[in-house]
Amino acid sequence: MSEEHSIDKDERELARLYGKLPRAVPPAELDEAVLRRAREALPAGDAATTASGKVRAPRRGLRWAGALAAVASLVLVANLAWQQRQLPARAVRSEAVTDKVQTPPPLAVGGTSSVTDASVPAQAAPAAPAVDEAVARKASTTKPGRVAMAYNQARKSAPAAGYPAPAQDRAARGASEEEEKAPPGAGPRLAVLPPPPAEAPQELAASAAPPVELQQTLQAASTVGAAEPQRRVATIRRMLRDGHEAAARKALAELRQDFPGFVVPRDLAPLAK
Amino acid sequence: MVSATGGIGAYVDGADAVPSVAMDRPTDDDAALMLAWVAGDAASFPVLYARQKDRLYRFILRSVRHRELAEEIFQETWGRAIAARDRYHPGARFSTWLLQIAHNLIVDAFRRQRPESGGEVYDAAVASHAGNERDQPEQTLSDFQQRRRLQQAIDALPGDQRVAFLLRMENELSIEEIGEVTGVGRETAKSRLRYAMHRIRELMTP
Repeated sequence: MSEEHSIDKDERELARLYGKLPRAVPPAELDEAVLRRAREALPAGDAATTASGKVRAPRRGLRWAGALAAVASLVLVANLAWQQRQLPARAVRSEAVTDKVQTPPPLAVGGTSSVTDASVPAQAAPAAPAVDEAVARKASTTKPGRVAMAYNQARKSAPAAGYPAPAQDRAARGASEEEEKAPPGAGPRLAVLPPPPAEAPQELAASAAPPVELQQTLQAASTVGAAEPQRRVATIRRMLRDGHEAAARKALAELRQDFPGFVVPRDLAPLAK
Repeated sequence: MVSATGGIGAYVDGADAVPSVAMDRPTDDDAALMLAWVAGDAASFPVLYARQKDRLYRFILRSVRHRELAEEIFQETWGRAIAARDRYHPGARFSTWLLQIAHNLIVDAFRRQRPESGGEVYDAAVASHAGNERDQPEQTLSDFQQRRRLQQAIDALPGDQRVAFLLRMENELSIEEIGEVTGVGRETAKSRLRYAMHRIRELMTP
């Protein structure tokens, strides 16, 4: 036993005497006051057991936590399901955008009309550059992500023969009118692209989406558009190999219809005639 | 109010604070009861209270030597322990933690007001206790005188030595635990206890 814990003879004698001192105890009302304070400090809902020992329900806080966790899980699952549901729709929309973005005017396949066709009036030739310039000016004042969409939309709305589209026409006229109205010395003013027509397609309205999302959509669309003709060409070749020439011819016709800019491979050229 | 010879508050700082239990000690049954009560077991507290109340009350009463003040400090000690239940960590014996709270309140009380009626409670208690001892005149008188001298010797101790002595005799604390309760180092606690024993032996010698 250590020095501190050893009780020598004197200390033992003192301890014996001390033990004979009056053993005062707290009065009953003091006991009741303390116990009441303890009962009040412990909320009834928090008591796991009662004085009789019966087990009560778990803490209210724990029940709240459980309910909160369940609700959070439901929200998470619903969100994931919604995201999954959005994926196919986004892919379909990407294909549609690809068709509109990548479909050039029927230049190579049709061969019936061209911007450089000799039948185009001479004064109409600068219309396309005017469109490009107007679009470029608009792009400089709009978000970068909208540039490609606006450009392709403008190109698409321009007639294949090279006549200026109504929008560009109005823009050009508006610009000239403004130049006429401008006071002398004000210097040349840039033509302002008019607001989009009321009958603007839904895609333009959809172009309000964030630029990043648009870029991703365009990228996905280009990927899908590049892979699809090759896949169908492979199918047509397989049809030919299996002797189904009529079906192959029909499939090639559909392919050319769906992808007007598609260049028919040399081995399938007889089918295209 | 507090002097080097008789004050309690001279050796403790931060008497208002509920002591934090950060000492690395194994848990005891009282600590388990306290934890069970904090966790929601309402039946644990009466058991814990019954185990601790008498020794705590006597320690406070013999320290302040004033019944009303002792009851006030006793109730406040439990009130602070209840209020600080969420901060309780079973690092030390529960009784040590409780005594720390009580000791801090005692120091506060001595700083506020020195007891004016020191000792009369014990004089009355010892005198009433002596009434039952008249059946054995010589032995009873001797025991009564010894207890009275002991009580007077305890009262005559400096505050810090008295607390150390009471913690040792009433609560059976070790030197380390006395140091923890009073907020001093082990050597200081050991020195106070040694001086207290020596002083009491001197005062009790006829």
